[in-house]
Amino acid sequence: MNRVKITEYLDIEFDDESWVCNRCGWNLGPARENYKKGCLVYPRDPREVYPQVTAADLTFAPDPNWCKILEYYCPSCGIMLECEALPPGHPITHDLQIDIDDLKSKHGFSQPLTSADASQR
Amino acid sequence: MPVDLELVKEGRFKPEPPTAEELAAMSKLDRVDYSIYTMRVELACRESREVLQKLGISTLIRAGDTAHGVYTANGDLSIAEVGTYLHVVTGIIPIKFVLKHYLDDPMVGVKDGDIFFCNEAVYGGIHNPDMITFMPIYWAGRIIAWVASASHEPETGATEPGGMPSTARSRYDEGLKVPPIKIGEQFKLKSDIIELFENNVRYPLMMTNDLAARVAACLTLRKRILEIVEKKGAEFVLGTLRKMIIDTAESVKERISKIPDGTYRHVAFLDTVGFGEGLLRLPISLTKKKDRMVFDLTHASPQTPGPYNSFEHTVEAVFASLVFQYLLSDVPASSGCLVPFEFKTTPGSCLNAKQDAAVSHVVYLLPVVISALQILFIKALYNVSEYRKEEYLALPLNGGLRALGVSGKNQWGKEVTTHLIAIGNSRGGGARFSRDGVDSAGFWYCGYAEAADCEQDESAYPVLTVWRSFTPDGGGPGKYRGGTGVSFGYMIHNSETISLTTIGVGQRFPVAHGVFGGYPAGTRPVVTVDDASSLYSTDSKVPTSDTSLVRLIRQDAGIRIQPNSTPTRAIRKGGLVAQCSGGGGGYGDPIERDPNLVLRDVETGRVSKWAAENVYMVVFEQDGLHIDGKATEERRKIERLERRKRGTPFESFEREWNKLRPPDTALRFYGEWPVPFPV
Ligand SMILES: [Zn+2]
Repeated sequence: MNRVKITEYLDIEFDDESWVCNRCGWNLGPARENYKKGCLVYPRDPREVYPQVTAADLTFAPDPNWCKILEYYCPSCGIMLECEALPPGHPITHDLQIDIDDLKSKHGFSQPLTSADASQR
Repeated sequence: MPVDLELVKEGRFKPEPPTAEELAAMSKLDRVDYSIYTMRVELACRESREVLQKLGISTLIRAGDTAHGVYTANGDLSIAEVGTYLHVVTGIIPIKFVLKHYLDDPMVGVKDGDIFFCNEAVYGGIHNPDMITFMPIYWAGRIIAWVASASHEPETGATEPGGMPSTARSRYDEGLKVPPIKIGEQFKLKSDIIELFENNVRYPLMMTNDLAARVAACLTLRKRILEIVEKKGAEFVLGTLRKMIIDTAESVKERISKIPDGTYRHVAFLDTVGFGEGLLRLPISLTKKKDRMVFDLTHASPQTPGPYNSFEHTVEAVFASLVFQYLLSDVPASSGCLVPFEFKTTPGSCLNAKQDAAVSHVVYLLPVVISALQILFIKALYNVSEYRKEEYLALPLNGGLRALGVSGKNQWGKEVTTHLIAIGNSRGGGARFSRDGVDSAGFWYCGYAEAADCEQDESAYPVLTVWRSFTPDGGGPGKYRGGTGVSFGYMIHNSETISLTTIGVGQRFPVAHGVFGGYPAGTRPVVTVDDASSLYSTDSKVPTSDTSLVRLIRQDAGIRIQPNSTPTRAIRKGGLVAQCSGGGGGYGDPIERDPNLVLRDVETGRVSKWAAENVYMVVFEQDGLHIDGKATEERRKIERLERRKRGTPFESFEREWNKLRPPDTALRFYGEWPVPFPV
């Protein structure tokens, strides 16, 4: 197991180059791709997070027609790994696109690529 | 003379290469002397800030929203000291403009004792309320350095009082705009220039007083620099001022080179363009390779028809004021900090507007952009163990800025115009790696700034502070929550009628985002009541926050719940206005928050019981005063199960999600929908 921390909840495992939930060890898919692809997603109505104070046009909570909060959960333990506020339908952000080769070399895992390795990547 | 575009394009805040003379001077510097005198120069800047703060009238000067800097002979910033660093970054171009165009112009020229001024964004400034005064320092007949003192003046003679008109449609609505100009000779201000400035603004006394105060601050700084020259020689000062810049550049390169290479992305949105509501998209991608970073902002919404626009160089200047306070708080705040960074913007977008654009709300637009950048830094830095601590993994102060301005006759019969700056300067702090954000942390641009005392506002302006209270649920929920921010209530007092202006963002779309599962801070409108005097003249329950006001007020009292940016209007004695400073974003999944911290927050009014139960998922005992630990653990376990049930696998989710679209009313200033990230 050769893991490094990437965020509060996400590690990268160098052995199989995957994203891993550090709360439960679940594999969230290839580290060279968007970890969100391995998550469950839920579009939260912001009025469930922020109390409404009035029934007026501006309720004090974000306007659900303008804003949803996308919540990304670990499919195994249910931790909320990340969330983002987006207008409904706005493209989802690929927030972490880390150069895995550079990451490996920074953590002392840089071995020259064999052709077999390279074809797998 | 047409504007010199060479001086305002991207990258012009970066330092120029050292001259042969500076290199020679640097090679002779003694390490110990250098470090002692670097501190000496920094302290001199701090002293000149004290001078300005004590002599100034503007509420922003008094709160510390000022900046003082020392520049090399050719106008590169060597060091700036606490306050709003942004102001001195934007001194660079005006100084270079004077050197390039006026030094050899016999009708202008530059001499010892000359005093210069600039408040024009097109010439390297920010927006016209930000006024900078600068002076050359001569020694043995030649310029060896420059000093500057800058501050925000809440009045410029614009179409609305206060210098930041929500209704501005072009630069010609924004009032007095002065390119770099000589305003004094032989260390004295020129009377004809003072007359010109006073003739253009609603609060002439403040204009002239603060102009003179900035000159006093410059003279203080100049005197201290000359003392060093007398003691250590001019060559020592030349070498020291250049070395500070080179040291900062080396230091920032070294710090960012430890971050894993890659591309990091975030997208922020604004919900106003000033005169009306609408979404603006502000996507940022940060690409880091070795010791360089490129920020791609090319997909921002088009230039707006209101004042929410920025020039290309302003983005870079605001970024500098972030890195000075965040990544580089322990090295000289010099223009060396910008060396490794490159900014890409699209001409004609709201981040690279045309010269005739209105830009007075640029200071509300850019904190949202640069706050998103700070989130990218947090994501990029987390992997590096030495950065995994609260100084680095800290969300910004709430960057959804808001302000409240009043203008008219005060209780002493004098015409005044100001912003009640406490709202700006009591933003909720962002949550951090190991603790909550500060509830009232400071000004986004200036951690040092203070919220003015109620008495200070009340003694000069016709208002009564009816409450200041921490905003319940104002901070973004998280394992560590954002600071709450503060709710302010002001009643118009001792004046029949005044003009009221409110400015700001964040009533429909959250602007202070969270990280790692922490939620953004919530939204907040402005509330005004035409006549609230009855509320405070009876024994009934008195409102102590905007939410309690909305609950207690009679509907016939003339209540309005409005966007933060609302055009200036008259409000009469007894009228009330409530605005919130805004909270910081949350860090981590809220259901990982220590239940005892949730209880403390409920007890102190920072979090409502509703949010404790529904967002933090804690269960109270029957008495409602204690947390039931076991039941809370169980409740949170069930929530994790429920998330797994209600969540959809990414690919099928994305397919359906991409079919959605906000209403057309939300997209009127947005540009093409949707625009994906640059790949
Ligand atoms: Zn998990």
